[in-house]
Amino acid sequence: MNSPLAVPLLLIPLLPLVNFIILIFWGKAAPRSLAILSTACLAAATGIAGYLFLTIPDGPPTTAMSADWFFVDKQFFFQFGIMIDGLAATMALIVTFVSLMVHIYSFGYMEKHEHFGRFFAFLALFTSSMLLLVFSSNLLTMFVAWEGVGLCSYFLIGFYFEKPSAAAAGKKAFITTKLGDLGFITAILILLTIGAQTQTFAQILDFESLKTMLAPRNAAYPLLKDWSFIVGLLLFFAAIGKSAQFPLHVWLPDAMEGPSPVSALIHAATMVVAGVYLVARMFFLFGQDPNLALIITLVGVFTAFMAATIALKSYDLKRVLAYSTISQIGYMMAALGLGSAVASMFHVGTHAFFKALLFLAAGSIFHAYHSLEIRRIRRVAKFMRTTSITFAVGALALAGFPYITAGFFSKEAVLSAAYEKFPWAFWVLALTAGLTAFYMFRLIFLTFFNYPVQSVPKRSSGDDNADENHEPHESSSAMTMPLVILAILSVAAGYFGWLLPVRIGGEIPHGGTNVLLTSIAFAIGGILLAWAIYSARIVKAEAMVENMPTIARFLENKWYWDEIYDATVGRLFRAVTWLVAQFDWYIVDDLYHLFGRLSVRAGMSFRQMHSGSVQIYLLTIAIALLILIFMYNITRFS
Amino acid sequence: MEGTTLHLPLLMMVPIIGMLILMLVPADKVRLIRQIAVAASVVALAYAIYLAIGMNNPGVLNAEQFAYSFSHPLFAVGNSSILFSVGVDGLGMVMVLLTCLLFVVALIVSLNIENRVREYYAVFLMLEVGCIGVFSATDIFLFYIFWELILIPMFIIIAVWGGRNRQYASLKFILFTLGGSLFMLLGFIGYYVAGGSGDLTHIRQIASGSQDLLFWLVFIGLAVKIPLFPFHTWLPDAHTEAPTAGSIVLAGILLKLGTYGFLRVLFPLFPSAANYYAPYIAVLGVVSILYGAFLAMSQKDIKRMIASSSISHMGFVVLALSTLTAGGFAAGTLQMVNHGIITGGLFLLIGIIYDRTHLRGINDFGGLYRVMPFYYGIFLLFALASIGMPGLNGFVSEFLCLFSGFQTYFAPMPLLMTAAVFGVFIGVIYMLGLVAKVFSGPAPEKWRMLSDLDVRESVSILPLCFLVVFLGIAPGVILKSIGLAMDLIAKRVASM
Repeated sequence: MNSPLAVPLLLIPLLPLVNFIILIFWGKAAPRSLAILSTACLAAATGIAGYLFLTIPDGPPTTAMSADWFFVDKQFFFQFGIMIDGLAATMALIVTFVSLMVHIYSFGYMEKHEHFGRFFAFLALFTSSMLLLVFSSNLLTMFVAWEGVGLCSYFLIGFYFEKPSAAAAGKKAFITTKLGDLGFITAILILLTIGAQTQTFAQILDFESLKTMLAPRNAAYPLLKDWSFIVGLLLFFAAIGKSAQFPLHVWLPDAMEGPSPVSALIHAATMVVAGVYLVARMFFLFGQDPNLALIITLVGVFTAFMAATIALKSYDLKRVLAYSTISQIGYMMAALGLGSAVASMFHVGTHAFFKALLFLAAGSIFHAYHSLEIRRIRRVAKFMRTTSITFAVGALALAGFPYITAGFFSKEAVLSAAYEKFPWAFWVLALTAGLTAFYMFRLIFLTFFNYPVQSVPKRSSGDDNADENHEPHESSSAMTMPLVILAILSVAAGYFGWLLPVRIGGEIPHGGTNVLLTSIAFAIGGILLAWAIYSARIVKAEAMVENMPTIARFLENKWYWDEIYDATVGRLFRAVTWLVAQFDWYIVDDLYHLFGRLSVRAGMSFRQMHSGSVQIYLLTIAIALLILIFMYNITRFS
Repeated sequence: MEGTTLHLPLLMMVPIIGMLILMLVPADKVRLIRQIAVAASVVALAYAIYLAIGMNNPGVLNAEQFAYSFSHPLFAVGNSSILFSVGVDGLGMVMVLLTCLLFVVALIVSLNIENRVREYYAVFLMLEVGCIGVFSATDIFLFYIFWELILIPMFIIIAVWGGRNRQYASLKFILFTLGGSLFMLLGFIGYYVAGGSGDLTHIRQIASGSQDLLFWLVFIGLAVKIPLFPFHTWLPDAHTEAPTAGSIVLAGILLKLGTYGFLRVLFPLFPSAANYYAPYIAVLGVVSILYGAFLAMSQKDIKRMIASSSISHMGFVVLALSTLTAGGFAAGTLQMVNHGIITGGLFLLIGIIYDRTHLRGINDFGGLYRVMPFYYGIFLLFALASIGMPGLNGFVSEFLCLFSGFQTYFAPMPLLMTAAVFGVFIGVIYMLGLVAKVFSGPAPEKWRMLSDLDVRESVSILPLCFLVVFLGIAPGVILKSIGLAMDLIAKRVASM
């Protein structure tokens, strides 16, 4: 079963995995040199991924390797398998490249941190799990990698473990995504149950054979088709959890507690796109069921809009970016629901570059200003030339600035897909694009220049405690170099969109002039509006907030999702726990206690009879004899 | 008799000899006593490994697929006799190995016991004999004798070396388990009267009409031990009060006696009742999964929490066994072994901070991440294994238990099975909550000087760490060695 591709394919996830093991055991002894080794290995993996991307043949996936892992019955083994196709190769290249940039950047960013080695160890494990996820050839292997990704996010988000808020954020991320994972494992179990009934045990978890079984013209598996909606829904629930879509999006903004390079990795290339990748990988299932497709579109469009509105009123640099991620992932999901895997993957690719860029640039700003509160950051453009230019490029790409940036092309592809199928989705997404442009340039106009803020908030818990008196300065070249590379790609990637149809199949949708003009209008309009409010100050921002206090509060509280969940699911959960505890303590256990007391009481009363008085013994004997005689007579006569 | 070997009786003699030697050593030679006891358990482990390797040789298994059979009449009852008859199949061998391993761990971790050292080790060695005996007995009365033999030492361990509330806990333990085994004894006698033999290698069928009552009598005896809801309330108390090594043995081995009994006596002796009542047992299993998990959520004491989580994890075993398929039996057995390793390890780890601080409350701790980094790493490993992280041993067995449960019961009870999956999620919440409370945040002043693991602690935990990882990657080692036994038992249950 092993093809010649097995070795390079295995090397890509294995290189970082080996580095993880080395770093976790010896990272304390020689953190710097081992981190360099790890980065070099990752560069090699990136090279291999690039080579595979360019050379793998078109057509159906190649299974590179599969090995038996464990079994229950003799006839059925669970397999561990990897494979490659255009989709996997594209994704792998993005993952390795972005991770490489993050690695290089971390040399500067984490320079003085005492757990430098451990940080690189988890970066390596994170990358490795994500790569395994990309290459997995069956659902079980993917689940293993999927859980690995979740675990690494727990470690990295909670990297500053002494900080209670960081530990809580890591926990929240892990538990929320784990709730989604229940959908994944239940889907696997249901598929296996169906497989057992139709004698297709071994192949049912395999993507390729599942695809054949579900093919529209294949009528051999009616049971599977009956269940495909449920299975699809469960898998989508898992994807929602990982990709931070409504209603499981609440973990991602809190995940900002992690160091900035981690945020870049999570948002651009690993964690959150895993859900998109799962849906793209199982597109044969989601694509052919119109109900599933509609649900995916609805969730994607709603999430995109909701997250964008929250970003309007956020004052934390990284949180704005976090909500923009949730919003952009909504675009990718919507594109999948609308039936265009290519548009979705295109947006995954361009988004990976500019979002990694934005987070790394935000980290660079944090490094200089020791704060993420945008009302405290002033005149970035003056102090940090490279960072501000690259950040602006990223913002332009995210806003979809026409024709120059990559974001424009991929967003236009998503919008075109919507325009063809659901006009309502198109208009909501176009409006969201306008909001996106607005909040990104709100960030820029507020922080890059000297916008006067009425009330500067006090230091928040997110700020670090370095003294503020020195002037902010540009970061080291280890940090700015990845910024420049990513900025170049954020522009250039748009011109390589034509590679995707070749690699993945399908076509990039183009909706014509209407779509083009609408998206240009919203992008430019959003930027101009931000300029008008925050730079030219034609309209006062404060006045707007005063005029719409309810909406402002609603947005500032993030639509109250955390509160709603706490009041419903959280309360229910605590109530059940409380009930079980009370039931156990006062009913079950006390019944046993009662039983024990009754036995003691019974023993006490029997003791009365053993009083030692011969008269009472004789009396008892006499009564007993009488009863016996009486009973004997009854039985004889009846 | 042909093929008779003295291997198993000799294996049982190893701890007994150790115990006898201990009796000859003066009580104040503490160091020597410890060395003798640990040596005895290590020799027993080595012997068990030797026997396990020998299982693969051709011709070791007899016609009934038992190895190392030995039989000697004890006393006559009517025209047949009760036999001292032992032997192991793949299932018994794996359980014997687990027993010997966990006893080595438990005795090493007890090296810091200062109170009545000689008696302590003697009682533990006696307990080991009882456990090996149950897992290798092939006669129901011998099974029962060993079963009872276990109770006394465990009672003494809790009552003498236990915590503050040890009197209550030990009494509760002995009353529950004695009460349970009384039912079991009644069931055994009933079976013996009806079938005329107590031989577990040649099982005599009894009329299906008389199976129902006997089935439930034996079931109660076993269910108390597992423990299944609603017979579980002794467990948190016993665990909380038992010394660390006692908890390890209790969680790692004693709870498995119940589920082992399902496979060895309950299902094979009463196959038609088993087939009839299996769905009820499945429901009880799922109820235990959820009930135990929520109970664990509500606990404020770390030991009580882990004890309650055992109820939940053993529920998975019961669910898998209730499918009455070879696959389900294998899944359940694997989960027994894995739970023994994981929970044994967790109790060991809790014992370590208890030794240092004499506290067990979840809220008593914080920030240990920085104070005891090595300890944190190992605790995290076991916590992750316990919540079923792929790559560690808990995942494979939990997944297989759910898998076999789904195969049999998803069609009739889809919602119940989905609820069982949800049990995994609750486990994540309380386990991560525990880790976060104990290890994250700033370290309080009073815990700043806690020392990380010393040699004794590291040596005792590292073998378990290795198994957690190894059995996660290569669970086939166990699945392969128990496969034949599982097939035979499943066949016997199916051929009612």
